[in-house]
Amino acid sequence: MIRVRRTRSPRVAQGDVIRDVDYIEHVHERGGILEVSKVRFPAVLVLTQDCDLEQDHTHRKAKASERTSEDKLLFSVLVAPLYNVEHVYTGQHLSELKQRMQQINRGRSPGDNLRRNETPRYHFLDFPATVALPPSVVDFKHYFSVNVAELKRRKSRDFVCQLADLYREDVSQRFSSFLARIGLP
Amino acid sequence: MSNEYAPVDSQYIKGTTTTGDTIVPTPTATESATNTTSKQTSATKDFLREAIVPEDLARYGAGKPQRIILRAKLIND
Repeated sequence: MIRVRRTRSPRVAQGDVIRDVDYIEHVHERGGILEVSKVRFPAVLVLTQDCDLEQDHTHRKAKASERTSEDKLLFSVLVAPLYNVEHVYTGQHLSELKQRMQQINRGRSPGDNLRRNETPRYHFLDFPATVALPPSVVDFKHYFSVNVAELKRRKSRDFVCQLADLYREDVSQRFSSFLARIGLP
Repeated sequence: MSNEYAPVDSQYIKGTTTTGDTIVPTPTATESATNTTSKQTSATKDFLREAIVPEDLARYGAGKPQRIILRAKLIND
């Protein structure tokens, strides 16, 4: 079981778990009709490096006269969705999007490897009982970005918890390893 | 004094009845416990397996990503 912080910092921080975050798929305008398609994820984990987020926050709240440049501002924050592990086992976690995913046998090696964080693509998080989240899986392959200011607004309403330092660093290290993996034939 | 937990106890502990604050084993309680160990273990597992899903649903909702499409007519002034 992991450890978390329940206190909400005023800025977006690495390891934050935030509810109901939208990924914008497209914005089209045809014949005077504007169409926006988005996917709402029940929970996401913030992956962007915390020092970058802190510098962005410090810069945004500084007075214009104190800024020498906009060098530290971020456009977006990297996040990855959290899926209920029970849905992941059955491969049904994206069923509402009409996507079938690979099943993972919970009682055999694939399930054990998932829970021991030995599958590079996934990161298993078993939250304490005080957090209203089921045992969940971060899917590194499904990472996406969200506008910084929008995510901050969302966090003010839908913050769940932040992973304790050791656990968020573990996620960060495994995510960077996943992105830097070399696919051999 | 009533025992608010007594109904739950009597529901899940086979061979017991409740009297006030105490749970009293019925004469067959010990025998049934020793003779049906494997069945009880299996029943317990089944109970836990069934209990997890509704509890999760109550705490976390359906918990799957959903696609939302918004359409709006643009107005030219």
